[in-house]
Formats: sequence, C-alpha cells, structure tokens
Amino acid sequence: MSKEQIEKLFEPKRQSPVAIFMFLYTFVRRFFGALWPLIAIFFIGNRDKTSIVDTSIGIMVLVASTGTLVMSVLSYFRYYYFMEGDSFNIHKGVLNKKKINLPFERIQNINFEQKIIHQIFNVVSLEIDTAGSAKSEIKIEALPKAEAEAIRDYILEKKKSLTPLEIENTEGEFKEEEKVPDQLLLSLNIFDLIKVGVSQNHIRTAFIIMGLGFSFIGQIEDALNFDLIELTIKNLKSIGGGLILALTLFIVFLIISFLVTLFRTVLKNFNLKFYKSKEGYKLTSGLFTRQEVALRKEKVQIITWSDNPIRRFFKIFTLQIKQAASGVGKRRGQSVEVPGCYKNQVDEVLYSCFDDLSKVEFKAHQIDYAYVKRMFIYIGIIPTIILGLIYALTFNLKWIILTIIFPFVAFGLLSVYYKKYRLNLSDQYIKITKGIFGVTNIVLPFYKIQSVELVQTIYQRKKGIANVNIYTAGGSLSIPYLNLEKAQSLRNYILFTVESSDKKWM
Amino acid sequence: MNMDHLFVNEQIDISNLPQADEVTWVPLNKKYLPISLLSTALFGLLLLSIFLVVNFVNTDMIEDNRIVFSVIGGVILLFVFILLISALGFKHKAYALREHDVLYKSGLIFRKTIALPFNRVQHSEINQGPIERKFNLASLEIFTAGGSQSDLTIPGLLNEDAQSMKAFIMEKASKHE
Repeated sequence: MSKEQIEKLFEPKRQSPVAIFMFLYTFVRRFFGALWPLIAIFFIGNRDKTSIVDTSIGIMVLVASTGTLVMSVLSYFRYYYFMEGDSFNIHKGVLNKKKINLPFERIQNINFEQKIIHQIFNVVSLEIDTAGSAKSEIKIEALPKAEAEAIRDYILEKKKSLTPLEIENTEGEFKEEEKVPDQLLLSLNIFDLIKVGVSQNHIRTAFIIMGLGFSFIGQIEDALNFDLIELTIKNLKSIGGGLILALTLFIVFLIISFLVTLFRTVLKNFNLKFYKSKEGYKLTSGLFTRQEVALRKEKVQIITWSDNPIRRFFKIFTLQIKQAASGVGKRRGQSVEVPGCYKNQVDEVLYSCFDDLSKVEFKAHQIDYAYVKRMFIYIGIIPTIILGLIYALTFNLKWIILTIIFPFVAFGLLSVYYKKYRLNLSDQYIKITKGIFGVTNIVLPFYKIQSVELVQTIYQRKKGIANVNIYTAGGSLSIPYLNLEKAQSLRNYILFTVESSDKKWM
Repeated sequence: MNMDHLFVNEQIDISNLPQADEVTWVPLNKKYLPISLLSTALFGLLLLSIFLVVNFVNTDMIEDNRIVFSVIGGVILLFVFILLISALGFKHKAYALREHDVLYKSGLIFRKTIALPFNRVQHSEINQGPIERKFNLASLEIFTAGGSQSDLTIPGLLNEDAQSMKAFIMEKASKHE
C-alpha cells in the first residue's frame, strides 16, 4: 500500500451513491415490517364504504414513503467514515447524530458482501465485527471494492502491531512487508457443486416444499373456488388406489425438492473458494450475492464435519466452522459452511485451528439406554396412538399398516442413534460423534467453554441421568442422557480446565 | 512462573477435582417469594384491565360475551398456574459463590444447575424493579460471551449483597483480562 493510499483512508469520505439504494431498501423493509398489517387492511379491506380509517391509512402510507425517500438521501449525505489515529470512525445520523469510534484492537474481523446491486456497480458492503458486548453494529453499505480491501488490510495489519508483543513498528512508516499470498485449499467447480447439491438432505426440503405446496394449492382453490386435491385424488384413484397416490405425490415432491436444493446449492456456493490465509481462513462464494468471510483461527470455537450416505459415496464432508460472534442472534460471519471438503481439507482446518488435536487420544463414552426408552414414548408411542386413532375413525387399511410399522421404525432409528452416539473425551478436547444414516462430528477444546449447565427432568432424576449443556461463544451443544456421575465429573473437569487455563478463548 | 502451567501435564484424578455438587447452597432471600408473586399477580391484573378497558370502549370488538368471560377465565387460570409454579419452585432456587466460579440452580420440573467461571465473565448488571426497590431487593445478572442462554440471573438478593457480589465477581473477572 502506498503512502498516498493510506493518507486517503484518513480523510472523511462518503459512501458510494449506491448506498442510497441500500438505505432505501432498509427503510422500506423496516417500514413494511412494522406496518404491513395496516397496509394489508388498506388494500384488502372492505371497499364498499371508504371510512376515515382508510383515508388516514392512505395518507400515512403516502407520508411515510416520501419520508423514507428523503431520509435515505439525507442519511447518505450525513454518513462519513474515516480513520483517526488507531481507530475507525463513522459519523452518521440525520436527526440523532451518532459518532462511532472504534479502536482497532476492538475490531475482530472485517467481512465483505456483494449483493447483485453491488456487483453491477462494482462496490461491496463492509461489515466490522467487534469483540465482546459492543452494541453498535458497523456496516458500510457500499464502497468501492479496492477501498474496502485497503481499509481491511490496513486495519488488520495495524491491529497486529498494536498487540503488546510487537512494540516496534507502531508509528512511522507502514512497513511494506511482502504479503503472504493466500493459499487456495479448495475450489468447487460446477461438477463438484452438483455433487454437493445431490448429496443435500432432500427429504427435509421435500417436507418444506410439501407444506408450501399445499398452502399454495389451498390459496388457488380458494380463489377459483374448486377442489383441486379432491379432483386429482379422484383421477388418480381410478388409476390405482391410495398407496400409489401417496407414493406418486412423494416422488413428485422429492423431484421438485431435488431440483430446488440443487439450484440453491449451486447459487449459494457458486465459484466457492476456500483459502488458507495468514490469520486463518477465507471463504468466497455465491453467484448473485457474493460473500467473502474471513475466519481467524483463535476465534474458532467449534468445528463440525458431517457426511451422509451419498456424501460418503463421493467421499466428501460438509465442514462447519463456528466463530465467536458479537452481538445478539445469528449473524453472518459467525458460522462458515464449506461443503464438498475431502478428509484432508477437514484435517488441515482441524489441526491448524486446534493445533495439538492430531496427537490427542480420546476415550469414548456412551449415553444411557434410558434415552431410547424415554424418547420412544415421544416419537414412537404417541404417534402410533394417533395413527391408531385415525384408523379407528376411518377404518382405512392403509392406516393400520402404518400403525403397525411405525413403532418398529421409530425404535430402530432410536436404537441406531443410541448405538452410534459417542462422547469422546481427552484431557483438552471434547468430541461428539453421532448420526443415524450419516456421521456428524463436533469438536471443541475445553478452554473455549463459557459455561456449563446440568439439566434433569423428573424422570431423569429418578434414573440418575442428566443432560449436559455446554455454551461457547460460537454456539452451544447438548449431551443428552448422560449418567449423572459422568455428567457431574465432566462438569467439574470442564470448570477445572477453564479456571486453571489462561489461554485466550478468542 | 505461572502456577497454571503446573497443571498441564499432570495426571488428574477426577475424584479429587472440586465438586460442584457438594457446595453449600445459599437460598434466595425469603422476602423474594411474596414480592415475586405480588408482581406477577399485578402484571396479570394489568393485562386483564387493559383487555377489559379495550373491550369496554370498543363494544363491538367481541360481540359474544361468552368469549369475553372465557378470555378472562383463561388469563386468571394461566396466572394462577404461573403463581403456583413460582411458589413451589422458590425453594429450589439457590446460588453458591466459589473461589473461581458462581453456581445457580433452579427449576421445579427441569432442575438446572448452571456454572459460570469468573474468567469467562464479560460484565454484570444489577437490576431492581419498582417493587423490589421498595423492599431493598435486587437481582444480579452475569453475562458471558456464550449467548443469552448461558447468562445467569440470581434474583432475590439483598441490594447490598448484590452490590458486593458484583464487585467480587468483577474483581475476579478483571484479573484474567
């Protein structure tokens, strides 16, 4: 970076005018979010008599839309960002002026995103992730890509020199050190994407689409005033009976969901590139919304990788890296999903984030068999009773078949889950492997844990069993039905490790 | 040399670790039970009166009086249930401060015990509602980076106790910064 470029960063600057669109979008969304019931009443409401309510809502909508437009433009002109000393600053606000000053050392990460509109104008939005309980979220809606990169590089570089270990090189010339190029670990071509898309969980999507489909059909029926499903069923029944109908419907939805997931996967992960960088990892992906997420090794809290029968056939895993996040709720940049990883890429990430993991020996523990007994009541017996009741009401043979089969299936699935569930413990790590058809692995080091909780229901108290909930800054995990003694010593050991460790969890 | 490094390669006998189950639990202040019941009941009454006022002003909102009565009955039943649960659950709520962490247990049906090490505390707050202030009670809320579920709230503390607990915890927490 040249000196001129750096000086430029210190001048207060407005965003790219594209930001007006983004402000407008935010305002409109917020506006509709708050007022959609009113607007709906206005448009759908009884048109016979124009009441005073209608007129006033109309005026309100008009005023609010003009207001939004004006506010968007004003917000744009009132928004400045610049660097000052060792901090990043934003001055903004039309009515309530707000000055945000963010010291570099509080900045955790800087992420970019490009929605379609950004791509057209070759700009990006920049989001600054801060540590701890900072409440202000900082997001610059639109700025030129080169500038965003300059800001990121400068801040991250500067931030490093601010850490107490490297006192030299704090002020003065910005060292033009040779940039370590990011090493490409994984890139997905269209063929890989199809593999990933094919191996998604289609049955889950099928259920979602089924739900949507039925409500959509319902709406059309209401509008056209006739019974589409009844008609189809009648026609199909004449062809071959209820079971075939159910099967046909299921296959149709499965095909639709297959195509939808494939399409979504390709869009989301289009041109996915996963790099190893100096600080950690970097992921860029997406066709319409191009995102770039940076991961820092020390911020990683939990790593998960999972397969399923199709993925196992392709020998690929979906890798999920969960970072410490600030603020409330799920935010972008917290969890990064890298589909289509081979085992060696999974290992590479695992061993570089948790460096001593490769040498660790785990001792495996099982959950209590009471898990199967108890869960069978909820997902085996209760549904079976309902199915039986339906049979009793309809006397349809189909239901009695289901009633007989269902408990066996439920019991089988639960038993497999129980048999495959392993809580693996070493002196520093906890690793859970579980899954019915596939295998999901979850790993985290003890010292990243924030708090531990033991929960017991009445039944569990009687049986001497407890659930253990473990909370980290990157999400929580729950171990069900562990023998109480084991649960307690696990908790005591976690507390001991956390309290006697001075390793930084972030 | 830092003491903590001594732990690293040492053989650890799990049974010798500090037992979180054998602490002396400190129950919440006795005044807290009637006060929390009172404020729940007041909240229920407030909800009911809002409903009644709206219904009275806007007479044609609900035409059938039976619906009005069943709503009132439902709300009363719900609040009686909540009151019952919190009355019965009160004696299961307790906390314990240890050298390196704070424990809090609660729950009538789901018995929970949460443990929060001081070196993971982000910040803490003392909250006092208007009724609590009258009776010199406060609740202490301790935050970690583990999300809202892992935060810990100890209600029913004497205000002085809450203040000194907060100071104690924050002092412990700041040592690890």
